[in-house]
Amino acid sequence: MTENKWILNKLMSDNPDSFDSLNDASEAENEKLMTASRIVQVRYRFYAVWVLLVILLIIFWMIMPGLDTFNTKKSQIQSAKGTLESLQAREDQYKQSIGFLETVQQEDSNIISCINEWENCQNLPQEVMDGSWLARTFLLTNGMNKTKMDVDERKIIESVDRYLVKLEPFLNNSSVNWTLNRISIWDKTFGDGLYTVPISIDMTFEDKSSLLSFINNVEKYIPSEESLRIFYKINSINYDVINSDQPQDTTIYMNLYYYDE
Amino acid sequence: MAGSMNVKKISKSQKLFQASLGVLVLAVLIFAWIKWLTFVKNMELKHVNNRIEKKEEQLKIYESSTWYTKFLAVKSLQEKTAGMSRFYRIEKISEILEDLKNVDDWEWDTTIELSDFYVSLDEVSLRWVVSSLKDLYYTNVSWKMRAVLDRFESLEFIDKMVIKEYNRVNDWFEFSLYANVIDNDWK
Repeated sequence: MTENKWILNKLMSDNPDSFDSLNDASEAENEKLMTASRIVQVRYRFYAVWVLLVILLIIFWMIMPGLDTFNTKKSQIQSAKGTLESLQAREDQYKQSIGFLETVQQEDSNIISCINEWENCQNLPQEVMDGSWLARTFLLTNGMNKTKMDVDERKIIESVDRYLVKLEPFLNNSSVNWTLNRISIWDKTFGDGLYTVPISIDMTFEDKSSLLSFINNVEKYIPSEESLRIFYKINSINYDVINSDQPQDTTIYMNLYYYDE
Repeated sequence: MAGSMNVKKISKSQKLFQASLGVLVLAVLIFAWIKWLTFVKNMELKHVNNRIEKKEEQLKIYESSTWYTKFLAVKSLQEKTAGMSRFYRIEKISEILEDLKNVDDWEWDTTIELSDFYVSLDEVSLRWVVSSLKDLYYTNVSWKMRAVLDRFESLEFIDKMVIKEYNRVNDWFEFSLYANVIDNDWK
């Protein structure tokens, strides 16, 4: 490098006068300078080529893979954030559900009087009003007692006898205007976290209004007594609506559902 | 003259070299910058993954609680069993039946007889007896007479009425009418 500098300085300090004097100098020295300057040019070009090669290496071996890694990390962060958001949504859903259940537990009696008699509804929070059927289902799907029976049929029979067949189930001495002929209970099955027990009830209804009263007990109301609470869902009823003004033997096929821990 | 040419060539080569050095420095800086960004992203990813791990553990505890599993089971049951209640279904069928029966309850009308009603929320059918085929299509407002087919057509809840055969039985015409029930709001 000092040699390069010397040659450069030498060449830079040249002027016409000095060229004249240089011309006067020996041809050998001139030739020597020319050769030296060519060497310097070649050297610089050589260095430049090497540097460019290094740059290319840096671009293709370091910058490009580095960019790839960076982009991969970026997309990994994106998907991780997506996962986090969905987990957050699950947590929010959980908290909302638990909040709803706590309110249902606290407002138990208000919910029952609102659904059964359309009273105290104004005392219920909006979320419970909006989810009143879910609240009803929740309150009715209690567990069965553990007995020697596969299903606690004591509870089923009691709920049929003391609640379902009553004309006004919320009065102590409510009358019935139909006849209960037979109850059949089949084996329980388990699915979606709940036990299902198929049950059929054969009854003779005096008229359509007594049938509708029975259906209301099944589909609408909630017994205030916790031991009578069972969630029933009617699957089919063989009732002739056209002859609804006459007494009819009717079979009602239902499923009852309960939750057991 | 030759010296000045050489100077130009050397300074050109030197500039090329300096420029390439500048590009090299720039490339190194870009690489360092990308490395730094990757490092930052890596830290961010680690942080997010840690949060995911913690949240998953928390959710595992939450979602194994009895209350919540019962809630999910009840919610799925509620969704499965939602729909029109039997109470309203029977009420609606009664309404349809009454509307059908009222079709022959027409002033001056003693020549139409309806029977054998079948009513469901998807279709209705009934047997029909008329003394004259004219009763089916003839309408005279001033005589307060309205064609029986028009009366059925005016029922909003039925569609695609079909009568396949008209049979003569003694002095009467007998036939069966089938129609679809179209009100989907309460199905």
